[in-house]
Amino acid sequence: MTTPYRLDHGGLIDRTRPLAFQFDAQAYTGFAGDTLASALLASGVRLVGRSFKYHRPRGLLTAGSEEPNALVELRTGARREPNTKATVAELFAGCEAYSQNRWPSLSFDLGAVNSLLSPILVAGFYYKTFMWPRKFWEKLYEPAIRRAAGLGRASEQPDPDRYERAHLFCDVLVIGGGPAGLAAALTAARSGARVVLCDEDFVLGGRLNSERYEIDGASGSDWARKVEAELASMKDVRILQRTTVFGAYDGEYGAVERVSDHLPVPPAHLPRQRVWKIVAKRTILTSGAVERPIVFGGNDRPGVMMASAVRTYVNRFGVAPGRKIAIFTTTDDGWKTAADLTSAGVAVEAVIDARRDAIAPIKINRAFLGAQVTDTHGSRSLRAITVRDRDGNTTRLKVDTLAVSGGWNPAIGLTTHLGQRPKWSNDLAAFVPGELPKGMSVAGAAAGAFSLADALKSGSRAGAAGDLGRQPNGALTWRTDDEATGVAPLWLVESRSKSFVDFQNDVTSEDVALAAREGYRSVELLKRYTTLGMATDQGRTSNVNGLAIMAALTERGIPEVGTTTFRPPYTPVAIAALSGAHRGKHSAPTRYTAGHAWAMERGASFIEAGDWLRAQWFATPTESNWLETVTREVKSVRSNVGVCDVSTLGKIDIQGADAATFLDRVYINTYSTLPIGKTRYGLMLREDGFVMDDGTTARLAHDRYIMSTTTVNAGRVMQHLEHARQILWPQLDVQLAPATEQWSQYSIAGPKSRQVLERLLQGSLDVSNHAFPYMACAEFNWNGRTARLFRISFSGELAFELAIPARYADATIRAIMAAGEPFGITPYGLEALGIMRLEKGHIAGGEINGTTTAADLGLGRMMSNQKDFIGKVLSKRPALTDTQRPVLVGIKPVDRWAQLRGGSHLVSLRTDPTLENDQGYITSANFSPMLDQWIGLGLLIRGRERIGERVRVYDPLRDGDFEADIVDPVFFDPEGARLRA
Amino acid sequence: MIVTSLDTLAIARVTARKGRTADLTRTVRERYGIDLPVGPRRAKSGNLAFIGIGVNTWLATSDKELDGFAKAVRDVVDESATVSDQIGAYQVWRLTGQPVRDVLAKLVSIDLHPSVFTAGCAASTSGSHIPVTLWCPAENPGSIELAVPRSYGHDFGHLLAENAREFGFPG
Repeated sequence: MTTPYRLDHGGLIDRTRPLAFQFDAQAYTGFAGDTLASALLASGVRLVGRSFKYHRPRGLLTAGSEEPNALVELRTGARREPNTKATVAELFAGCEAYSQNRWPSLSFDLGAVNSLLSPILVAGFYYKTFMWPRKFWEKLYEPAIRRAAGLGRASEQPDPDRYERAHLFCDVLVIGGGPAGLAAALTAARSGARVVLCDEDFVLGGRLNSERYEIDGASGSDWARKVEAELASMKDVRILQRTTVFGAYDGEYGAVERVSDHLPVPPAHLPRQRVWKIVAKRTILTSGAVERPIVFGGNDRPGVMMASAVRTYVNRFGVAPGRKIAIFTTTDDGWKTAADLTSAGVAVEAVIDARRDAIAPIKINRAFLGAQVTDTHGSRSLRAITVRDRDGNTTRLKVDTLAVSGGWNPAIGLTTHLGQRPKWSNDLAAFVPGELPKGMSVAGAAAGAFSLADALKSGSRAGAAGDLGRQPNGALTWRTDDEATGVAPLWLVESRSKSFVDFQNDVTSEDVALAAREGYRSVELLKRYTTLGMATDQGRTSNVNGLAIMAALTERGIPEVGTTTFRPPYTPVAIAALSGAHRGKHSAPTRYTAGHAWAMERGASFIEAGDWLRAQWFATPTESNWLETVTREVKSVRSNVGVCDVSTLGKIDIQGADAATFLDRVYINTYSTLPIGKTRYGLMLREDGFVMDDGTTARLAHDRYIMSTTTVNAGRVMQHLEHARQILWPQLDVQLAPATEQWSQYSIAGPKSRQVLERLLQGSLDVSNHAFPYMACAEFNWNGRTARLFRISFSGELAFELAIPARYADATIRAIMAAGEPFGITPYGLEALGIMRLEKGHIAGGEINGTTTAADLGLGRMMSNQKDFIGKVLSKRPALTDTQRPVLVGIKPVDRWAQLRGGSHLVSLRTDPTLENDQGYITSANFSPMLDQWIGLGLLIRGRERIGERVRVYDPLRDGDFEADIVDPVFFDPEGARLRA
Repeated sequence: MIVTSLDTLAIARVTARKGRTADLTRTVRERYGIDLPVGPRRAKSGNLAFIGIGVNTWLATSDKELDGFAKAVRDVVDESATVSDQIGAYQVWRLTGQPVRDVLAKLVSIDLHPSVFTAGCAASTSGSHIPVTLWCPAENPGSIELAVPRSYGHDFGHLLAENAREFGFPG
């Protein structure tokens, strides 16, 4: 557990808080404030993974979220997560991490054999291989590819943590908490604006924590602390740390806050992660820049690292990446690494600056100007490099770390999420923001302002923009040193060894050349053919190099090859975070009727109907299966009396001087002729002529109706009616109000239902057959409350539906049961109700399936010829009036115990059961206690003419094949005598 | 955070008949002393309040009477509006306490900052797929009151509790 590379002092880590952790089952120690990467580096761990395709040994390339190599598996058990970048994983006590993509171990990986196959495994190899012989594909090639494909393993266990979603509004959203971002946020906040500052790191300050800057005489990181403290003290400023703004969307930004990722176990009161949807009047993007590698031979060897990352490890984490370090640079910036290493007491062997006219700003052991590194050496770790000087002579240098600086690419991903394109700057040798999304401005390194002074200035200026805040002040200023930021791009070094462009997807400069040779010369084709830029880092360290190499090969400028754009998310986002609380049972809200508690007391089993839970049946302890229960319920209702909660059906208040006209236009039948105090069954069509929904509508007063719809279509019908009211006929005087929630409704059905009702209502309403005939309705006063009664029946029995305001539902159902007790009243559920309506041939959801017309369902005569209504015109199309259409019939299996199932097909007895001979299908089926056999409704070609015919019911999926008779759809009490009792 | 159920609040939905909004406005001012709000706002006088929830549509609420409320409003507004009784339709809560707006921000996607959602403001929106009408009562601007369709009450209560855990609310 030694840390041979930890420097004696320095760094922003807390040396008083050591943390024990494991990597590949080996124990190590780090400090609070370390990342997994910095702690590993301090312990001398240089090998952190194996590359995707060739399984080449890989080390840390960077210190940030652009890391392509150090993808590890973090945690174990249900919390195990793959492909986490060690460079951003905050170290915590007991952290367990494992390397990926290697077997049996990181140091000895059999997958490295792929490297030997590299001449075959070039870009696009899978377009040219695995094709012959064809029969090998299914048995051999595909399974092998599946085993080899993918990176990392999911835990495959249920996620034990909670996730949240939240909304945030502000005047200014500052994305990135480095110097430019802090300057922008402070300036905006001091002017009184509502500011949100997001930063992906666990310490604010960006590069200020990694460089030896001074601002107003204090260190850069101290200045950052001071600004942070001032921002935190302001009530309208919100700082979201550990938060990545992952996407710019239409009018809002998406961000994910890693609330508890850095804790061993999330505390119970906190979520693991939280997704923020942020709406900002203005956005300031200060996301900094990503250092660009140089493409040279062996540039992927562990020990080759970005120059700025070396500075981060030294200055922020107090870790020396190696003992003998060389620097390969084409920028002024790269020399800072030499200065910082020297200051920390780490030996700098050499600086190799590719620029011929470079001037060494500090004294260095050996400085090679106009030179290039052409190769690296060492098996699993860097041991030496080959340098080719300006005269073409080569030298071998013994080093264990090579810090590379090829320039800076502004991190402008968010500026392109909505389709805008960046533009190329020859001066900076980088893409800078072009057109910007509405309301966004860019400052700091993200805008190409690479020096600290420029970053602070541009950040503050952006934060001072006049339309923000209440008292706009001017931009703030700070004192800081000058810096040189020169760069002369070097896109490719001639070398005989593999030179990597995209580290994560193992794309080399040869692959880019191959793409050019084969004609894939635009950036879109280059990307897709080679997979350059398609890994989880979205090509942040590879896109520009790939483009530049292609441009040189095809003798074009970089902009002509194309521009790289990005799509959300900027960094990977866990799907659990996006779904938030909507998991499992909570994916959608559940709606409960007001009588639910009573039903639970009675032992109801429930079933989902849309978002609702409805009682399906009420089993008693002696019953052994559902069929036994529902048979009892049906028989009780038909011989006695039962009660069923029908509250979930949609109810809509329709009022106004033109309410009757409105209904006439919406239903196929007429409602303006409906007398007050009566109810009528109605059918409504979609505009295209197919049946949309059915229900009963009652007229309570001249200009007052109450419509009922099916449970699942309630919302859809309301939308349909509102569309008609607002858009189609705005001239009508009609008002709609949703009433589904207002009224709880119970159906009291059976030969003794009137007696129960009389006992219940105690004279509040005359419910005799004479005073309250079939289809009557009334609103009345019952015990000081308004109630409604409708004499309608889905079951086909004498029945009444009692509606009371939902707040009285519980008391009411208990009162109904008490009133019905002497008559043996039985609660019944959806299943029994479904059987009874089937016995009566009443249509329901299985028949109103969106493909049936009124005529198909035997209701063609309901369509009025006297008026226009929605769907009338298109319902007359030839295909909808074709006499060959399947129409509603009843089906009775010849064998009474043969189980009819919805979805079974119907074919003639004389024909084979094939698609060509298909005559129709069963829409609803169940066991009928009254007929003591299975029955069903179905659609059969010319069905009404074939009553009495015997057909074959064919259900190959469920092994059903038997004969059945076509009958009239009304199986029970065809005269309807029970209804009118 | 304290959650109080407002069980005895009567609610009725009032929609102006076509072309009669001015009549309705006059009637409400004369009979109730309330300026009918235009837009998503709430106006209260005594026990009675009107909350704008849509074009020419309001929820009328009463702290006092319950079962006869809709009829009483209907008698007052008469020919200028239609009234639909909603005394059974909603679960209504009053939320008080420091974290209320932060908790609600996890559910609804509107700006609840005290400088934006001020006393008298109202909104008809949805939170986690549940329709919700909320308002900042002028008589109690430290609180937020909200109405959720009754059948969603159980799940919405669960969501409130879950999202308030961060602030110490017992889950």
